[in-house]
Amino acid sequence: MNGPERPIARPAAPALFVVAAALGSVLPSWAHLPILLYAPIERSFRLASIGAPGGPPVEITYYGTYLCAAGFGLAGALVGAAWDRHRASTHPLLPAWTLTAIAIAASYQVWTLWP
Amino acid sequence: MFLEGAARLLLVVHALVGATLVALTTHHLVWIIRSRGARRRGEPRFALLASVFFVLAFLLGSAAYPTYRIRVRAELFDAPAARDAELATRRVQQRAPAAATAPIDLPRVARLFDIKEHLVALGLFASLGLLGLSRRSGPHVEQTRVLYVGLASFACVVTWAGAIIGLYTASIRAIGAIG
Repeated sequence: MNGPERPIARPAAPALFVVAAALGSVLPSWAHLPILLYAPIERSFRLASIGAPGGPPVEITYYGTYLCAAGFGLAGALVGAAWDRHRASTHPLLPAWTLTAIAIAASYQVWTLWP
Repeated sequence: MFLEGAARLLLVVHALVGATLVALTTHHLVWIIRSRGARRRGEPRFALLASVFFVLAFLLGSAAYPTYRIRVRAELFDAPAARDAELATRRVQQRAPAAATAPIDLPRVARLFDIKEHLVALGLFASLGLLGLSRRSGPHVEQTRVLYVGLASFACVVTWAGAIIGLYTASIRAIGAIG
């Protein structure tokens, strides 16, 4: 089931999307970046860093964290698209950077939350 | 609370979509590995389907999350009164003539579930990256083969982990916290 020849790979946009999104998912917790926090009982949002005082007893950080990660991911994809357009070849370490970023983000979450 | 009335339906649909996602990511990974560097015309379609189901599962899970956070985590896993009641039940169970199995630590279950949530979100980004990659390259391109297999493997592993931890957490209220 072989298909037609494909062009030479230009993986910087998807790879940098993953790198930036993975690091963007860690930054709100690690660097105390202000993100959107959702209070499910009060049904309200506030912009604050995780664990900031003055919040309700139950606050969901998940939505804000992954909105931040998606924003970082989109920025990374734009940088990658520009790289793909202006460079003739892809950096040989790009796959390693991508998989390492995922490993770092996953390890950070497991390390900080491990029961 | 946000969508609390629909939470059970959301959970069931989330589970069905999740099961489909496990099948899709597994099938995709096996297809990539078995292709041994050859091109497969239908392969990018699997990348697309996996991404669509990842996004669906993520949205459904996120919609049900506030209900879990209050009704399960705050009221059962983290609440001292609920924990005390659970411990009292365990003590009775352990004194019973039949051999009692080891009790489950409820706050640990909550933290395990949080880990699952984060890993699956990272899997979503890996799946979207793989979708982008499948439009520009493929597992047959030497330059990106490692990245392709790595992203597909990560997406597959986290969907399995998500399904198992999700079922385990849901089972606490279904069949109890002992055993």
